[in-house]
Amino acid sequence: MTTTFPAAEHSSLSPVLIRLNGLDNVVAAATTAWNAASGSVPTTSLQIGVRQGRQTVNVQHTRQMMTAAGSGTRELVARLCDRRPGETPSDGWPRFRWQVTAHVVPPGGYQELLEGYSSAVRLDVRDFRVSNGRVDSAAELALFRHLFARGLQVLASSSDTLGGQAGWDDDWWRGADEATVTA
Amino acid sequence: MGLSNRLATKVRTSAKTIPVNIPQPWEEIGELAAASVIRAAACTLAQTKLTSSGFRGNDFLGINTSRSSGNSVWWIEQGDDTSWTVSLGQATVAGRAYDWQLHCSFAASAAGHTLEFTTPAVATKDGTQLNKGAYGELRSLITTGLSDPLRISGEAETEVSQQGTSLRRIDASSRRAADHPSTLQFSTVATAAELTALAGRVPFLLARRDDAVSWVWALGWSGNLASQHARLTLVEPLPLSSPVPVALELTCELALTGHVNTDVIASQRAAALGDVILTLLRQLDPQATVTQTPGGAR
Repeated sequence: MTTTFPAAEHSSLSPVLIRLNGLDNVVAAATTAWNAASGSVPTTSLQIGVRQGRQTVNVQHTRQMMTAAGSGTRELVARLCDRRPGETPSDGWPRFRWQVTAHVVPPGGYQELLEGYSSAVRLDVRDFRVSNGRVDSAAELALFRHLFARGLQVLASSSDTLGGQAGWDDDWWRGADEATVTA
Repeated sequence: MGLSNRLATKVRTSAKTIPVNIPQPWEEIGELAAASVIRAAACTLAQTKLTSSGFRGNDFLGINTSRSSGNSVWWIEQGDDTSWTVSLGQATVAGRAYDWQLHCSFAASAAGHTLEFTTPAVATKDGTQLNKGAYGELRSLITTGLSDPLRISGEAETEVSQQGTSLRRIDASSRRAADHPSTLQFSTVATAAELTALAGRVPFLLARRDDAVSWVWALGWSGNLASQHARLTLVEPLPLSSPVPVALELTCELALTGHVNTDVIASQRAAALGDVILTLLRQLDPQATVTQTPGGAR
C-alpha cells in the first residue's frame, strides 16, 4: 500500500497529486485545465545567440508554452519552448527549457492516498535545467503548475492537492530586474 | 601522466550496477522516490559554483577554452519511466558541450531493483575528466540517497526552484490584450442548459452567477489575479429547450497595478479565458465564432 507521496512541499520540481471528486470525464477536464493554464503563461521575447555560417548572431526568440498529447501513460505534455522567427511550432518544440507531463491515475492506483476521492491526476516535471544555482524559467513553471492544479480543482465538486508547489505568490514575478538571457 | 589520467577516468566512469532499496509499486512511488533522489543530488551540486568551457578540440595554450568558459549548466532529464540522465556542461550556439553525462537506469530483478550507472558522454583534458569531482559526488549522492529514498531532504531542490522564480521583466508588448477594457463576442447555437453546462467546464474560479444569463469568473485564486474579473453575458434572449443562434459577450476590465509583470499575467489570463470559452463552444457547435472589439475577427 502506498501511504506516502515523495515530494518537497514548496518545490516546483516535485510532483503534485491532485485528488478529485465529481468529475465524469477526468481526461477532458484535465485537458481543458492544461490548455487554459498553458495559455495563461505570458509569452516573452529574448535574444539568443545562433550560429549563422561561421558567425554567431543574436536572434529574437519567442519563449512560449506549447502543449501536446502525450504517449503511453503520459496523457498531457507541456514545454516552455524558444521559437525563432518564422518557425512552426514543431520546429520550436525540441528547443525547450523544461517539460511537464500529467496523467490520470489508473483505477486502483494510490488506493490509500485516494481514500474518499474518485479520481486523481499526477503532474510530473520530467526535464529541467539549472544554471547559476537556479532553475531556468522557474517562474513560468510555478505559474503553470498553480493554474493547472487550481483550474482542475474548480471543475471538481471537491478536491485537494498533495505534493509539491501548487500555490502562487505575486512577488515571484513582481519587481524582478531585467536579466541577461543566454542560450 | 596522460595515460594514468586516462586510466583513472576510465575507471571512474565505468558502468556499474548496484542493488537499490526502492519502495514499491514502482509506477506509484518507486519512480517518484528515484526521481526525488536524483533531483536532490543534482540540485545540491548545482548550488556549487562550477565552470565549464564550450570549446572542444585541440587547444594547446588553452586560450579558446578560457574564452568560452562560463558557469556550468545542469540538465536533468527523465528519458522514460525508469531512466534519467544528468548532464553537466555549457550551452553554446552549436548546442550542448558536455563535460559529462551520467545515465541512471533502474530495472526490476528477482532480488529487487537495481540501478545501472553509465556515462554516455565524457570530455577530458590531458586524459583528466572535466569537473570529475562533481561527477564522483553525484554518483555518490545518488547511491547514498537510494539507501533510504523516502527520507531524502527536498531542501536543495526547493531552494534551487525558488531561486529561479524571480522572473525577468516581461516586455509589455508581450501583453495579448493590449486594449482595456477588452470585449469578445461569441456567436453560437446552443440551449440554455448547454450554456450552463459549458460554464461549469471553464477552469476558472466562478466568482458568482448574477442571473441565468451572466457568469463572473475571477482570473485567479490569489494575489492580483484574485481581484480581477471577467463577465460572460448572454446578449440575446435566453434560448429555451431547442438550440437557437445566440450571442455571448465576454468583458474584462483589468485594473492595472503598474507592475508590468503582474499586469501582463492578468491580460494573458483574460485572453486565455476567451480561448477556453471558444474551445468549449466549438465542442458544442463547430461553427461557433468569436469577434474581438476593438480589433479584428479571430
